[in-house]
Formats: sequence, C-alpha cells, structure tokens
Amino acid sequence: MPMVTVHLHTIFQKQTPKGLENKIFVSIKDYPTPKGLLDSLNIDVNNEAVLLVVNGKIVPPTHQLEDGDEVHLIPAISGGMY
Amino acid sequence: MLKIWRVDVGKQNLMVVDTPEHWVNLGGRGLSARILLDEVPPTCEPLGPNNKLVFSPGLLVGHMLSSCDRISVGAKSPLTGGIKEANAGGSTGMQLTLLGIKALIIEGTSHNDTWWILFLSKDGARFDPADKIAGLGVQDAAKILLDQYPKKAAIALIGPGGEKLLSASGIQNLDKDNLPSRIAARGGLGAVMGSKRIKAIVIDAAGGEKAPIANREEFKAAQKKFTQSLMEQPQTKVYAEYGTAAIARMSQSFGALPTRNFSSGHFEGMESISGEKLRQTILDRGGEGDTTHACMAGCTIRCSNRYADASGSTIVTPLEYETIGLVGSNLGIADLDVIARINNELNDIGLDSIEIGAALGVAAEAGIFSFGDGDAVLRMLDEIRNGTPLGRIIGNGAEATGRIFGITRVPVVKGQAMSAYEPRAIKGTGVTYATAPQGADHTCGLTIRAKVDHLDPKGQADLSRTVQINMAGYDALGACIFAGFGFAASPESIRDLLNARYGWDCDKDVLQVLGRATLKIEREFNLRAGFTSADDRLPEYMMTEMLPPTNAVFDVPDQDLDNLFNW
Repeated sequence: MPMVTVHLHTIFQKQTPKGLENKIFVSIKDYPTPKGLLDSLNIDVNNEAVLLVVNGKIVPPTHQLEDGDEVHLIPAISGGMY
Repeated sequence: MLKIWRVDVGKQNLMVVDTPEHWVNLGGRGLSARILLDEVPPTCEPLGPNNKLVFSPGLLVGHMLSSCDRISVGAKSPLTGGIKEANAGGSTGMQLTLLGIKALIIEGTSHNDTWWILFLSKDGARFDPADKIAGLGVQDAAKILLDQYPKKAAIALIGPGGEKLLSASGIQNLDKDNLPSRIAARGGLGAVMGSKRIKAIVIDAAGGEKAPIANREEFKAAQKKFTQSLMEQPQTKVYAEYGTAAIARMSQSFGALPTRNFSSGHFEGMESISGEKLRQTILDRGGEGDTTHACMAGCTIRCSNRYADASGSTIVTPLEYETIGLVGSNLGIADLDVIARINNELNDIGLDSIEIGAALGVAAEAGIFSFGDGDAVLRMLDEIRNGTPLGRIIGNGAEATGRIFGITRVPVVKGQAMSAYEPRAIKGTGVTYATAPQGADHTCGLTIRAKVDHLDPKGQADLSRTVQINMAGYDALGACIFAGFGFAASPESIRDLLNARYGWDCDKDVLQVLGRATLKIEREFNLRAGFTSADDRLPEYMMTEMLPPTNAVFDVPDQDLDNLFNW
C-alpha cells in the first residue's frame, strides 16, 4: 500500500491520537493530500506560523502525495521573518 | 535625559556628556553604528588605540518590556575588519539604563599590562585592579566579582579568550540569575575589550532612576497590547517548551543542517541532538535541569534552558541551536552531553561557539582530529585556554584556521563563520550571509521560516532585504529576535511604545526607518574601511560544489547581491 512518513515537530507531536509521537505513517489512500491529515490532527496550515514541507520543499495543503514522500509538519520557529 | 558616558582607559577618567542631537533618536545597534562611524577611523587597527568599544542599550530597554532589554556591543571587528555589533540578553542593558547611560564608550589605550575592573555607579567610574580575576575563566571570575561588588550589579566580562586577544572571543554578561551565560559573541569584541585591558565592567545602578516615560498611560496600554500579542503567538509556546534547539529538525527537513564542515545538509545523528530529545532528556533527568528559563527579567517567552547531566547537576546554561549545529552536526557529534560540556567550556573561556565550531570543522577536515571525537574537541579547547600555537590558530576563527592548514572549504563571509543554516539549501539566508555588513551572522536576517521555495534563487534577495531591515530595526530597539513574533502581529505597538516612551510622533514604519538607517551607516563604515562588492560573496566552493541531499549550489546572481541595498 502506498504510504508516506509524516514527521511531527515539537508541539505537534502531542496532537496524534496516540499522544506523543515524532512520526506517523499514513496511507495515500486515506490521505491523497495533506489537507485531510492536517484537519484530523487539528493543525491549521493556513496559519502563517505553520510550515508544510514535503521532500524538503514548502507545499500547499492540496499537494498530491506520492508513495515514500517525507512530510514535515513544523511550527514555524526561528526568528527573522518579520 | 540619558547621557553618554565616555571612559578613557589610558587616563582612567570618565566624562559624562549630553547625548548629541543626532544620536538622540538612535539606540542599540543603530546608535553603536553611528558612534563608530562618527568617531572610529574605519581603517584603524581593531586592537589599537583608535578603536572604541561601545555598549548601547536599545531604545526600549529599561522598562521590563518582555524580551526587550538587550544590550548592543559594538566596535570595529578584529575578525572581519569591518563594523561589528553583537547583542546579548541578561542584565547589562537594564542596569546601564537605570544608571542613566544612553551609551558607554570605552576608548584610548592602556599604558601598562595591568588588568582592570571598570566599576560604574552613580558616583561615576572607578578603576579597580583585576589581579584576582585575571587569567580566570568567566565562571570563577564572576563568582569573585559577585562577592566583591553589590549583588544586584550587572557584570560584562571577558575570559581567557578575550585576554589573549583572540578573534573568536566575546563578552559574557550575567543573566537574571547572576550566571555569566549571555554572550555578545560574534566578531571578536572580547578581544577589543582585552586590548583596552578591561577584564570586567561592573555596573551598579543602586540609587539610579528608571528612564523617564513621556506618557505613562499610553506606554502601559501599548505594553499590554504587545505582551498579549506575544503570548498569543504559537512560536512563544514552542520556544518555552523546546527552546531554539527545536530548529535542528526544522533545518534538517530542508536539508540545511550543517554537517561535517558544511559538507552535507543532513546529519544522520540529528534525532539525538534535536530540541525534542533535549527537552525529554531534561525532563527525564530532573535535578537542576530546566526546559524553560528567562535570560532577562520580565521575559515571557523563556526560551532558555538549563541542561543537566544524568545525576541532575547542571552542565551548561543554556544549550542553544546554533551551538548544537556548529559543535554538534558540524563536528559529527551526536551526543547532547558532549555538546553541552563543549559549550560550557566555550562559555567559560569566553568564546563564540559558532566561530569555534566552524574553525574546528575546518581543523577536522584538515585531519587535526576526527569528526565525532568529542574528547579531541575538549582537548582543543584546553589548547585555546592555554594559548598554545594550535589553540591560538583555532581561537582566531575559521578563516585563520583554513588559511594555516590549507583548507579552502571554509564557511565564512567577511571572515566571520556562518551560523547553523546551510546557505545552499536556504538561499535567502545565503543572501543575508553574503551581504550583511556584519559578515555571515545568525542575527542579521534568517529566512528559513518564509513560505518560499528555499532552493529557487529568484526572489531571495528581496526576501533577505526585508528581513535584514527588520532585524536591524529590532536590534535598535533592544528587542530579542523572538519578540519579533509579537511585534509582527501587532506592528503598531512599536510605534506606540516609542511615541509614549519618548514623546515622539513616529509612524507605523518606524521599525523599517530604524533598520534602514542602521544598515546605511554600517555599509558606509565598511566602504570607508575598504570593503567592495567582492566582500559580499559566499565562499567560491558553495557556488560550485553540490550539497547533499538537495544537491543545491548557491546560485543567486551577483547582480541581486549588489543591488540588495539599493532601496
């Protein structure tokens, strides 16, 4: 089954159904794009403070996921943007 | 009104003068830059009599405004040969302001080899012999000073690195708990202080007064709004729980975590040195460890930490991302305990962990020791402390180390080492490294959290310009880089705070006005010091050698770099 690895950063690690986890594996059948996954984890990616990164690049929530993708959900820390 | 305190170390006297008209509206990095341009010959010897060391609190310092009590320290840099400002938290900025000091200017040259303690109080300046603390690390020296002087005094001091005039030495400041752990690290300012034969500056504000506020009610309202805005930002919670170490996983997700002398952006041991691992380790061990700690009184973010060993005894306070990146992944070390011990040694010698981490990475590439060998790194730090030839080489930074050992992969710009963001993978930050008047610097304008394609060279100069201007603005305020989250969500609070504090009538773009003015002065200083566009470039290998795992090179056009300051 095509799967992706979702890396959860810092405070997002607490938002999984099982509690504290630094990564989870999900099937593309269940989540063809990150949007549904984000909704299920209660993460608002439209917030400026949230970064959605797939294979090293920022992508929109509607990005089509592919087998083996590495997804990172990151609270956008590091000073300097504004 | 706050005054200028001018101390001549040769005559050992103090002159207190009114703040010149064209300095009044400046603060922090902006004021330091202005003073240096007005008074220091840009071509002077940085460790000679014509250089000056400036301590300048930011415009908002002195009012317990969250994360806004930082001290800027400036001079011509012995590391870059250009203008330098490094800022730090702790209590120095607050105590100087309470003593009525707009800027402290230390000038002249000492006529003998004696080390001195400069004691500042409402009675003026006094030079006390520093015999008891000369040669000591900052931790032992601070303990002696805290016994000798009033407990509430702030202290800025140098370690053996500054005494040996090393270009990677900084100036340590006490945090709110009287630990000498807040270092104005970058650019060799410790060496400038050492060249004036000042081991420590003790600032006792007893009997001083809070800086005047033109309109107290308006200031209070603006302060409340800013604090609320800051507390509402999700980043504030992340920093409180994980500290800056949380950036390790973020950098790796972009392939930008400097690894083994900037030869890769991916470190296989990253999870062992991540912010998440740091937090869990501190919680599991208990004892003196603490996941959250404020370096300045009144800070609501509390991004600092105290890292303890397995028995619960403190190893270092704090352990930060830049050190984890430069001393951890950049040296192939995947053990937080080892990194913490190295960090504590660096703090005690009074050295910039970024510069030394980069220099050690170059030394490892030269075969002086093996990547991953923490014991060897600690031995190198002993060499620096003892002033051996090898120690002096590394202690003078990455560029000196590369030149002496014949290494051309040296991650520096204008002679200063890059921080823990690989510029080939985060190109906006690469633009900042290249063009910032300070040299490659982690405080001058990071872009990693921008929602852009970091590998695309297009638009990176525009992004870097925006961030550089804003960062220079925050540095003029005395605001911590992380206060920016709150200010960004409530930009009018900067205007309101300044107008209420000073009775000014500035507009909402005051942050950018301050930032542009600062950068313009700094560029002018460097121009007069002989800098050209050739100094605004990354090292050549970063434009030709591909960086794993993204296989990126730095390909932002030179024209974009040269036009960055043409706003």
